Amino acid sequence: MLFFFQLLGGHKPTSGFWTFEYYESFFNVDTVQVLDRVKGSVLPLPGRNFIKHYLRSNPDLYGPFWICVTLVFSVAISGNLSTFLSEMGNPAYHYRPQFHRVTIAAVVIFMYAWLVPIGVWGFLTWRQGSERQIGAYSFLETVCVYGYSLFIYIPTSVLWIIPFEWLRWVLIVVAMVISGSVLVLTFWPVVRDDTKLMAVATVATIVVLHALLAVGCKVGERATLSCAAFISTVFNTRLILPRFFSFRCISSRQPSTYLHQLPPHRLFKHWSLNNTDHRQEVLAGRQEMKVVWNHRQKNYVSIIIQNSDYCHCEASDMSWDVCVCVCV
Amino acid sequence: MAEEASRPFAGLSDVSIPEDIPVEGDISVPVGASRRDDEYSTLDEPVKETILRDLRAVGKKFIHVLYPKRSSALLRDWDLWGPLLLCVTLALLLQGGAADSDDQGGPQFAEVFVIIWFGSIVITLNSKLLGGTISFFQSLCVLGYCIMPLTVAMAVCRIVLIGGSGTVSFAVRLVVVTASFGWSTFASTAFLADSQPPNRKALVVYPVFLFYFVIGWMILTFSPSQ
Repeated sequence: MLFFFQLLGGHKPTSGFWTFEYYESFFNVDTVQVLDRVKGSVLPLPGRNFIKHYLRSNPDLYGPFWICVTLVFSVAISGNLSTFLSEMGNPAYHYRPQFHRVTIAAVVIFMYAWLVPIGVWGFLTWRQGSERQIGAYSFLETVCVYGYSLFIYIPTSVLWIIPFEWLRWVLIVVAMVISGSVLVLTFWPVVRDDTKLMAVATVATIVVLHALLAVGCKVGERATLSCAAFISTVFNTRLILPRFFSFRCISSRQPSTYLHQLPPHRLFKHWSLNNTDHRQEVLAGRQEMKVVWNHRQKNYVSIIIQNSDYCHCEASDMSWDVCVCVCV
Repeated sequence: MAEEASRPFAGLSDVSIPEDIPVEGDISVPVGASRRDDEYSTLDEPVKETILRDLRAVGKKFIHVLYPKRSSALLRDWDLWGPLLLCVTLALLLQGGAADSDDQGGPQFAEVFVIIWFGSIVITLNSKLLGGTISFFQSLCVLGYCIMPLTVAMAVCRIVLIGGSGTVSFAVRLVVVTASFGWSTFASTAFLADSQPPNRKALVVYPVFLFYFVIGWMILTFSPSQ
């Protein structure tokens, strides 16, 4: 619990979490600012990072909380109304308020709005290791952007009452595109420094989870849960067993741009000859080498020199997971 | 010492009091504050007086809600009897509708209670976190008392539903609930508005609006069991 509070106040550790002022710092927004942020979540322009442009290191909890509450009630009410309208001609149908929808919607939406940002923030922090890059987001900013991105679903759920199937699917797709693009535009600059595979995988996961939420409200709980189970199985397999995936050499002709993004470690060359291990520092010059990033030791070590285009990570422990071909 | 003490009573040393004259009197120190103490000490008053005093205070606040003006009377002497009474009345009136169905029906008694009290607490915390100067229980008191128009609307709806549940009755109920929802929101804003910082008023009013909207929705969708 203490860790959770330190998590929240990661950007403004002014007073302890037992004081009232600690929580007041999360509500330090004006009406104009909240409306501005809502507008930014509905109109995602490319190049406008939501966190950098609208939050500006003043994230708040007012927007996410009240947007989630409004969304819970609007989803429950519009679901009830659409059921009523679709069964209006049925003489055997007797109108029921269906109050249990509120409970289900509240559980699902609040779990999404809190657990997914925890997961995304934890994953991004782990990937960057101990390096505090400029693009790293605090936990509160992640929660904030997820909360504001849910705003577009409120008018969508209100328009759901109109009883045309094609219109409902169009509305869902439009809402998913807008809301997903807010998230993608926010998180892409952070993961883009990572390897392409992990970057694409991270962004794809964010988008898929968001789509699941939208589709889940439409088709019902059972179909969504089975779909979610399938996708998570695939994803966990991908994460747990990386050694069965071999990496292709990324490029051997564009070295300089990639090399500038590597941290300035010295590059060594290892090879074994006649059962003797050799190690040589790479000197500048035209050379082809394979470089591997070791997560445990946090340095680049080259393992194998090969002549072909493929390089396989042959180490057997889990600390090697990227294989980059660089021309120096 | 004995000589100084005996000098004022010197003439009394030979006075004797006969035994058949009873000695009585009133040994009380006249203090001017005893009257004021009698007013505050309510231990001796009859129970009816105590209950009537609380009821009169509650009734006075109801009248303040009926004619909402920017006054601080509701805020100064807050009490939670009125909100409790209104909440129980509303929850009881919302029962008896579709009671035979299991989970597709209306809200249960506990759900209404939880929504009203938990909602009030959340709205109060929200307004305090945004920098409001109102105290916790004052805000709970105001929000609870302003449910009164909605409770009256619920009673009217139940009477209308006795007559039938067609389109006409739905239209009448819609008008009544909308009017009372507007009245509730207006009344609570009139009491709460002065205690908020000016650039955050809308941020505080919106949750109140949502709260009364949800209660109005629960009232409007009340359908009696066949």
